[in-house]
Amino acid sequence: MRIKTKLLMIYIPILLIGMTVTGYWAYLTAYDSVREREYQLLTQTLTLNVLEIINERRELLIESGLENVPVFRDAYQKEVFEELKSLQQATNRHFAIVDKSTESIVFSTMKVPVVLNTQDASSAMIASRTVAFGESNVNDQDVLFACAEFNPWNWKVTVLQPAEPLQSSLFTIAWLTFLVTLLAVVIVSLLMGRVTQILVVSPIEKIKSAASRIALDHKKVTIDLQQNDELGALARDVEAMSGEIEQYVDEAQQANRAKTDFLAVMSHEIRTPLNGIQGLAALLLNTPLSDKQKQYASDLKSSASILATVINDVLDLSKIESGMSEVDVTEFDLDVMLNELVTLLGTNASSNNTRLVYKSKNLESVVVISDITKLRQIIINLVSNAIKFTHKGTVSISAKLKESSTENVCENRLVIAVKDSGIGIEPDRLVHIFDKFTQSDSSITREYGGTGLGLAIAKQLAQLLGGDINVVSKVGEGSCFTVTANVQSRLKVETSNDLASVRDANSAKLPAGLKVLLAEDNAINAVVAQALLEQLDCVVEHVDNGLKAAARVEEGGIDVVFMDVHMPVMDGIEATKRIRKLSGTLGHTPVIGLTAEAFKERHTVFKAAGMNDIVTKPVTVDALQESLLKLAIGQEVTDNK
Amino acid sequence: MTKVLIFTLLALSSLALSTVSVLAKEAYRVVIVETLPVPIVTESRIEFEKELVRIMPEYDIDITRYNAEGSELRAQTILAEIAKEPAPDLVVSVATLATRALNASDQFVDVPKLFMAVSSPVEEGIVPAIGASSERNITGESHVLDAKVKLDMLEGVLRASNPSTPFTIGLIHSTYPSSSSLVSHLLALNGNYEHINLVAISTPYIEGDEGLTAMTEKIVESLQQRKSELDGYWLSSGPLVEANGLVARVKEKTGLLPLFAENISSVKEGALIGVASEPVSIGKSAARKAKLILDKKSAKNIPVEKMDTYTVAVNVTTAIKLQLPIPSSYLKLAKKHVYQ
Repeated sequence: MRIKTKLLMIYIPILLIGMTVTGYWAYLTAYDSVREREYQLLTQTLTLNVLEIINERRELLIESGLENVPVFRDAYQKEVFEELKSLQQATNRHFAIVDKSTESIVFSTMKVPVVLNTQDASSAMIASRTVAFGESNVNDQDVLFACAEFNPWNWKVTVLQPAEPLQSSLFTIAWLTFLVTLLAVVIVSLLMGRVTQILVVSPIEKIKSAASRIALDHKKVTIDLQQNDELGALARDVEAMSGEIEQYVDEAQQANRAKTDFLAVMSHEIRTPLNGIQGLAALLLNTPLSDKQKQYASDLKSSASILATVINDVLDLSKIESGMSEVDVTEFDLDVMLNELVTLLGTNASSNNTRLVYKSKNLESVVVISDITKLRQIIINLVSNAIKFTHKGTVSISAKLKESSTENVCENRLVIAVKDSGIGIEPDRLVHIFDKFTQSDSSITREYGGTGLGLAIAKQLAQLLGGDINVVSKVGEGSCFTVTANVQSRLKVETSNDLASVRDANSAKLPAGLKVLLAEDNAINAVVAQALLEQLDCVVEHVDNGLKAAARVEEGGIDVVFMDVHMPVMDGIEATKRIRKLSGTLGHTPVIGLTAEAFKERHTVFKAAGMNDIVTKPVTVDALQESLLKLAIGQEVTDNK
Repeated sequence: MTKVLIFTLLALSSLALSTVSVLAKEAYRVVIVETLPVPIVTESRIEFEKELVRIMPEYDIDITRYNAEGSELRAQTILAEIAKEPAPDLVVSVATLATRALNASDQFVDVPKLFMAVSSPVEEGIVPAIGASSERNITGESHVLDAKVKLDMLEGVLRASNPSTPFTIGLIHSTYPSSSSLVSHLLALNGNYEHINLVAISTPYIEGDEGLTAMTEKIVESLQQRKSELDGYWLSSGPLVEANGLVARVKEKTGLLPLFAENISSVKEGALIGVASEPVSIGKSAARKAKLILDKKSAKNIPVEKMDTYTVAVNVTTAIKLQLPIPSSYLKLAKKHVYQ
């Protein structure tokens, strides 16, 4: 809700309450005033007119010595009656005179008998006379009355008037008060709204807009606000802050670039010798060795593999945290992908005497649209973890889509649970299970190994996909990790050739005697790569820089080039560009990059230079074969990493 | 030295003479001609003289008085004698006959003239209407209330008793000019009043004090003859109303009481209600007009008007006796003139 609306929602009820109270007070004041005025007029009519008319005549009689002359007294009383009749016509008030002793009506301008309820009447002294006044009901009509006694003639004199005009006046006052109050509320609300808009909302909106620009551009902003109040000061502070943010962002971007560069270099520098170690260990195991030598070679290979995993984890985490990890959405068959993972990881499970099972719901004949690489990595991390901590037990993978899919692409929620019957996690450690470099117990690291990054990476990847990972665990009984992710899904309407083609490609064989040019400056890596390629029945020629590689391709007879990126004399990128510039079919010679740089954006640069595919070091037979097969079927594929 | 002394004495003498001449009051000669020596005439004249002297203190007012003894002829004679003397600054006539003679005299055409205590100046031919000016260099005031007002007052009193039949009232008067004129007005309006039935009872006007006595006797005699048909009588304005003992004589001889009188003294004697201009008012009002004339305002430019001050009087003893309650408004008007 906008701040202006909020303020008005606060102001208007307060105003309404305030104005209503004021209006009600004004109404009561007016009510009392009108009633008082009416009673004042009534009592004054009684005392200053009626009683004066009577008294004047009596005093005249006394002065003339005629007080006890009946003919005069009767005549003068008759004069009084006549004057009251005239007064009744002039004022629309009624007059009644009652004999106090006999309660008989001496005179009345009303046709009906006047019987007043004077119990609740007020009394006042007016012109030295005691006057009673109030409201009563005469002949089913509300009346205001005032009465007083005229003792010399033993009279009780009453003046009456209908209450209707008074009630009408009060009704009018009530309506006027209501309308004026309402009008005042509307006008004051509009004025307050306008004032609030000018003094508060508009400046805040300017500051908000500036803050949004800062959040978007991280640039210094100027806010057009010339007020010398708190909001003006805030605007100046925001301007100053935006300048500092711009500076900090520049510094952070520089630092990030430096970090990325450092990681790229470190990745390359570590992977290059690791590539050699792994490759040589693999080659060594293929030579005739004694059992002890074979064990040493095997341990060497395992150690290198663990080191490679550690490096990959660190690089993955670094990419995620630096925001360089992007969601690459593709269509894929999740059921097939999970089945393949079960096959892949089943070997590890078997070696741990653990059974790996998989079941799914709503996934049959369904195509899921998400980042397959990240999903695969999440599941591999969770399942590998589960297998690692489960001995002679069961690890089950269950996957489902919350909503049934239709032929049209629709939003869906993927839920994958990885449950094991392993050692379980202590409750107090459970909250830290996704922290980086954290395992449930330090002894775990010693017993089971690992960097403690797997779960942290998996959780962050899940969050990148709009989901999360939750865990439930009981010591001695096992754990259950539940992954959720936002995906899109649809029913498969026709069989896609893609995955089948890949599977066909994987099952396809490379032609024997493929002429491969290996451009690699590192002698050990060259030996390893050459040996691995030769295992694939390739005829390998080796050169140690890009210039030689380009020259050799120009000579012809080369089917495919494996091109290291970082080489002396001429690097792989420049060499690839030269090859692409060759005329005829030579310019289309497939070039596969070999690099220890694991970042995707670097791979994009390499491909932009003309490379057809990238194989990341440390190279394996499988990776080389897969890349060759992709090219053999003539498809441009993305990074196989 | 002697020359200087003589010169100084001469200078002082001339200064003293000039001072005396400055301090000496200017003198006016005023001649008053009364019609007859009845109270309203005499008292009005006396009040006139007192008021004139009071309001013109810077002048010496030399007043010469004449009385025509109720005779117009005598008045004419007096005026002729006055005409032989140097013309006065102002000639004042009191009452109708003296005024009639003065207005008719051609010897005083250029002398400013003022009249007072005249009932009907229009009927006397002085002016064509009340409010108009006279070409004969004369002005003054009528001291008598309009006939309609008087009839309204009496009707108000009679109506209060709610009588079943109208009151038959003897309208007594003499043939004195103003009386005759007023009576004819009253009789002309009588038909408009429910409770009044006026019956004219007249006596010839006789000059002099003996005339007043004779007129009284004549009226008493007439009333005696008609007393059975009368509920009371009306004392009209004129010499008759000024006659001493008229009311008492009528009461003694007929038992009738006056219901309306046009002088206050009759109310004191028993008239139910009366209304008249008092001599004090007549004299003072005339003195104010005389001052205007002596201050060189032409009498031709001063319109003849009716007086604006009248006195109402009531007699409550008569009211009680006749069981006629006087309306409070009249009682209030009467104020100090409520008699018992």
